[in-house]
Amino acid sequence: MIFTGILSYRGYRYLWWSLGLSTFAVLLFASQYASDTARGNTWQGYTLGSIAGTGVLWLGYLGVRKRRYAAGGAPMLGWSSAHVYLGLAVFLVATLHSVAHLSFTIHGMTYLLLTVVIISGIVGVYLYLTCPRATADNRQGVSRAQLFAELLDLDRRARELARRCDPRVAAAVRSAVERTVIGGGALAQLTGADRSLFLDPDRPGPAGEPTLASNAEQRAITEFVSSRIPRGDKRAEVATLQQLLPILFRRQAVLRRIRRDIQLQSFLEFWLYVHVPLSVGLIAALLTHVVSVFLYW
Amino acid sequence: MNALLRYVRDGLDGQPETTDVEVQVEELTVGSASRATLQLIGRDLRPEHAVLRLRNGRLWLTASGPAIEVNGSAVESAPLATDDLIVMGGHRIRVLDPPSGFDAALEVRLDPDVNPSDFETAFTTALGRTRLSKRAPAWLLLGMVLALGMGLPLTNVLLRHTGGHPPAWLPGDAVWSTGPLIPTHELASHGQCSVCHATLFERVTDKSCRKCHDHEQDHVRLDGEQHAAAEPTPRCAGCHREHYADTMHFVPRADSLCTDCHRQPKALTGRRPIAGVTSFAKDRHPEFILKLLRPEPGSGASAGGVTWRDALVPIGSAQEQSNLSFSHVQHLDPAKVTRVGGDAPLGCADCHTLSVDGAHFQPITMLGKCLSCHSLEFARGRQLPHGQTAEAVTILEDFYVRNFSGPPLPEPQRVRRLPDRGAPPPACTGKPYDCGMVRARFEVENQFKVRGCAGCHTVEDTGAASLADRFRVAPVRLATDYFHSVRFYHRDHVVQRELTGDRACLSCHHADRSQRSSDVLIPPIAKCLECHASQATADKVALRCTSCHAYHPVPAGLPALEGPS
Repeated sequence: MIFTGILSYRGYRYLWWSLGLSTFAVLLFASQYASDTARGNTWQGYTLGSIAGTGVLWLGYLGVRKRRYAAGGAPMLGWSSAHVYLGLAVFLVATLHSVAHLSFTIHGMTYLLLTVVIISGIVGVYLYLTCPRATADNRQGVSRAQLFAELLDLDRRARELARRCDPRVAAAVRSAVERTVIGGGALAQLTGADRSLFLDPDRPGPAGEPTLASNAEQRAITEFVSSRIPRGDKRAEVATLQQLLPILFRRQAVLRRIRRDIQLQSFLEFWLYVHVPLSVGLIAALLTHVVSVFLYW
Repeated sequence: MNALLRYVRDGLDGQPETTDVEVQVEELTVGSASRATLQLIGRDLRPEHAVLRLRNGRLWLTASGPAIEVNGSAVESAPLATDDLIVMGGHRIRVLDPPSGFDAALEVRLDPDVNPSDFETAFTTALGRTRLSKRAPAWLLLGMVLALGMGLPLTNVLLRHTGGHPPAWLPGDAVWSTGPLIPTHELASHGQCSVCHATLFERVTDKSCRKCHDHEQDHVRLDGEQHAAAEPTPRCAGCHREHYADTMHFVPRADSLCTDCHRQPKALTGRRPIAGVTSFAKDRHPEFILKLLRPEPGSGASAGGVTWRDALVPIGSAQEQSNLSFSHVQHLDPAKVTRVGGDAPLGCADCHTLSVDGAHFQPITMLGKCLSCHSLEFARGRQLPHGQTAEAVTILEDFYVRNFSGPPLPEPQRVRRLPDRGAPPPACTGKPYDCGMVRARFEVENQFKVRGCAGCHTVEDTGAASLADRFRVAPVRLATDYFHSVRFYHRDHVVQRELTGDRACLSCHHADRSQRSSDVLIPPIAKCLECHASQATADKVALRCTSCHAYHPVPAGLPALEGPS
C-alpha cells in the first residue's frame, strides 16, 4: 500500500538513518555536561544547531522537489519517507540544541514554529495512514465522479416524478433538490455539516406559502414524502409517491457518502494549510535566528 | 417571463428527438447548480453561469462570471436575436423565434461528450477552491518574521549606531536576546543591547566591561608582581557568561577554570614559583602558606619606630612576631584565670568576638579586652595610662613626690592578683622631694622591668639618663588575615559535626596547648581535609577552588615569600 509505504520504504531505510542521527545527537548533547551545562552556544550546541538548521532547509526542499516531476534520483515516495523520519530526527536535534527553551524572542519563536510544523507533520502522517482506508470503506468501490453522476440522475428522476404529484409535493421535492448543499467553505468541508434546506409545506408562512426549513441529511423531505403516501388522494399519485420515496432514500445515501468523502479528502489536505505556510515562516525565522546570533555574538 | 426550452438530441435512428419544457420565471438562470432554470453540467460551467432576462421585449444575456461565446465572439452582456448561437461548456443553445404565448424560446443541444460526473463542479468540494490559501499566509508569515525579527530591529540598531534617535514605536533588538541578563546588568544596560554589544558581528570586548568595572584587576598581572601567563588572559565574557538568567553561569565556579592552568605550574612562568594543584585533596593541593606580620625598624614615630611588613611563610615554619607576651594555656587554665566576679573559666569568646562579616574577629585591644582583668592601678584610685610611656613616668613621679611631701596617700590596694612585686622599696630619710623621686624611679623600674608593662610587652631599657626616655615598649600588632586572597568564614564553622562552642574552636586552633604568643594556631590543610573534599560525599562537604580563593586578586598584591617555597 502506498501510504504505509511512506514509513516502510526500502526496509525502513530512513527510520534507521534518523535513529542513527538521533543517537549521535543525544551523545553529543550529553557530552556537554562533562564540562558545562547544555546550551546552544557550546561547540556541541553549535554542531547540533548546524545539523538542525541544515535539516530544516533540506526538509523544506521537499516542497521544491515535489514540483519537479522530471527530476531524477530517488522517487517521490523515498523523498517523502526521508522527509517524515528525518523531520522527526531534526526536531529532536533542534530540541537538544535549544534545550527546549521557549521565549518571546526570535530564538524561542523559531523553536515554537518548528514544534508546530513538526506536530502538523505528525498529524499529516497520521491522516495519510488512516484517511485512505476510511475513504475506501466509504466509497465501496465507487468513485466520487460516479457518485455525482448518480446524484445527477437521481435529481432528474426525483424532479420528473415530483412533477406528476400534487403541486405542494412537487414544490417541496424540487426545492429539496435545488437547495441541497454539498461541500462549501473550509469549515463545512471539514465538519461535514449539512446545511441543505427545502420549502416545507407543513410550515406555512403568513400568506400560506411554504417556508424554508432544514433538510439536513435529507431527513425532512423523506419524512414529508412518506407522510404523504397514506394521505394520497388518487391511486396514481400514491403510486408515484411510492416510486419517489426510494429515489429520495437512495439520494440520501449517496449524499451522505459524498459528504463523508469530501470530509476525508479535506482532512488529507487541511494539515498542509498549517504545515506549508509555517514551514516558510520557520525558514525565515531560522535564517533570522542564525544572523541575529552572530550580529550580537 | 414564459419561456420554452426545447431539448434536442439525436435519436437512435439519427433523427432528432425533441422535448419541450415550459418554464415561468422572473429571469432564466443557466448553470450547473440544481436550482438553475437551465441546468447544464460541465467542467467549465459554474453553478451560476449566466442569466437571461427580458428587457423591453428583448432577450438579454449576462454572464455571471467569465465571458460567454455568442455567435463565435466572447461577450459579457449582449442582446440576443433569433438564431443567435450561445455555446457554454460544449452545450449549444440557439435562440428561437418564440411561439405565440411565449416571451422567449431556446433550443438546447446538450453536448453528448459531457459526463454527468462533472456535476461535481456545481459544488465546492475541495479545500483548494475555498478561501483557504497556503501561499498568502506563507508570504504574510515570511514578511512578519523578516520585518519583526530582523528588518525593524536592525533599522533601530543602525539608527542608534549612527547617532540617530529611533522612534519609540520601532521594535528594538530585545528580540535577539538569547536570555535574561543578571539583574544588575539588566539595570545598568537599560535594555539596550549596544551598551555591551558595541560592534555588530563582534564579540563583547573587555572594553565594554571596563566601562563600569574599571577597578577590577585581572587574574594575572603583567607588571611582574605576580607570575606572568604564557598566554594572554581570556576576555571577561569568556568566563562571565551572560544571558543565562542565573548567576551560576555568570560567576563560574568549576574547578577546571583553575586547574586547567594550575595543574601544570611549570607552564606558569614568572618571578614567583607556583605549586601545582588539581583538586582539594591530600597531595593534590599544596600545604598552606601563611601571611604573617613582621616588625621592621621604621621611621614613623606614631608607629613606635616600627614598620609592619607582610611576609608569606610556609605553615610548617611559621612563627608570629607580634611583640606580645601571651600564653593561651595560662588563660584557659581555670586554676589560674577565671572570669571577673566568679570562678568560671575563660572561654574563647571572652576575648575573640566575631565580626559582622562572619569571617574575621574584632581587633583585641588592651582597653577593649585585657583591661577588664588586668588593671593598671598602681595606687588606690590611681591608674597608669596604657600606651603612653612618658606620661606614665610623670604620673608616678607626681604621686610619690606628693606622697613624701604631704600626708601619706593610701598604699596601692590590691584589686586583682598581680605579678610578684619583687624587692621592697628602699627606705629614705632625706628630703621629701628626693625621697619621692627615688621612690618613683623604683616604681618605674618595677613597672617596666618586673611587673605591669613587662608582663605582656617587650620593653627595651635604653639606659637613657632621663627616666621618661629610658624604657621603650615594642609596638604590638596582631594579624587579622592569615591568608592572602583566601576567604574563610568562621561563622560557618562554629558548629562542626558534634562540636560546638570552644570545643569547635579548639578542634582547629590548639590554643589549649599554646604557651607562647609566637605560636601560630592556624591548622594545616590536613585539618580541613577531615571534613572537606573536592567532591561531596556522605561525610565530606565539597570545597571548590572558588570556595576559598578568588580569581581576581585583591589590589594590594602579594607580599614576598619567606623560607622554603
